[in-house]
Amino acid sequence: MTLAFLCLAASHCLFTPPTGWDVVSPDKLSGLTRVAFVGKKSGSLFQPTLNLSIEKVNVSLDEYIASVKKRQEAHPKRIWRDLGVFTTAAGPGRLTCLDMPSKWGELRLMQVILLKEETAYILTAAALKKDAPALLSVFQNAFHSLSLVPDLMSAIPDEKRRNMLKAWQKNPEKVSCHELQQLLLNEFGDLGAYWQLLAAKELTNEKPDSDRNLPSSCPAGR
Amino acid sequence: MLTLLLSLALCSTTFADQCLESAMYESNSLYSTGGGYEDGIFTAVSSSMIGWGIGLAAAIALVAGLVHQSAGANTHSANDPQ
Repeated sequence: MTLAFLCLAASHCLFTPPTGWDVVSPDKLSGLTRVAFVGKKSGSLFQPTLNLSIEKVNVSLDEYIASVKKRQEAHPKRIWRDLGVFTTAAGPGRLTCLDMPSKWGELRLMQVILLKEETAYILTAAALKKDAPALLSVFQNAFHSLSLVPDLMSAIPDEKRRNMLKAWQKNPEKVSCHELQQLLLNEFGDLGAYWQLLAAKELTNEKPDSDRNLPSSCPAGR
Repeated sequence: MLTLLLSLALCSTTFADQCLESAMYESNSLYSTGGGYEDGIFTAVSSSMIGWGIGLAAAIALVAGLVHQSAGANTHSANDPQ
């Protein structure tokens, strides 16, 4: 229980990905990327994606942007622009735009950077340049939702649902993993897929291995 | 490099090593800054490859350690609401 308390007491960067997007398998994420989502298959070969990277830094936001600019301008085929201040739920960040060639065609990547307490939070959205205008509002909504919360519980707006999870924390052995999975899917959809993933990870950290009786109690993924 | 030279020139020999270390640290940290941004770009492009996405139900099971990575990856769950 102590471990659960400590985990839930740590701060979290949250955002709400578009509804219905798939989660990129964690083993496909590079270095500092924490989570990534991919849009549903469409006629386009390049599916739109959204990911969050977190980097420890000891520079200001302006210095970070300057460093990024220098790196991107070193690529002759990339066009990088600083689009200025962008408001997120966690405060003002910076929006940048990068156009780059790929085997699927010209790509457009939009990135919002938030820097708080020596940590840079980078939310990256990508799509084919020709598809980008149609996805702009989708990306903007995700960018605006970027927030920092002291713990996952505080992101839950109502007492009733907070109590549901507290009940799980108090008696994890009485609720199967499958029930937790269904609880998160059915009752906490409004908090977004990333919150649901973080909650599942943290809450089951306390679960003894012997209780993770997946083949019989939690067939998801099979 | 200019910062490094200026730092060295302003420091007495007694503190030269200390200044050199400090300057190297600053240079290294500035050089390494932006790794998260680069990783975001790399993942954004690489994760778009077809078949790498999994449904939310499967992903929850995966991050909770309920299924092995190999079972969860590239697999859609029967419980997936989508």
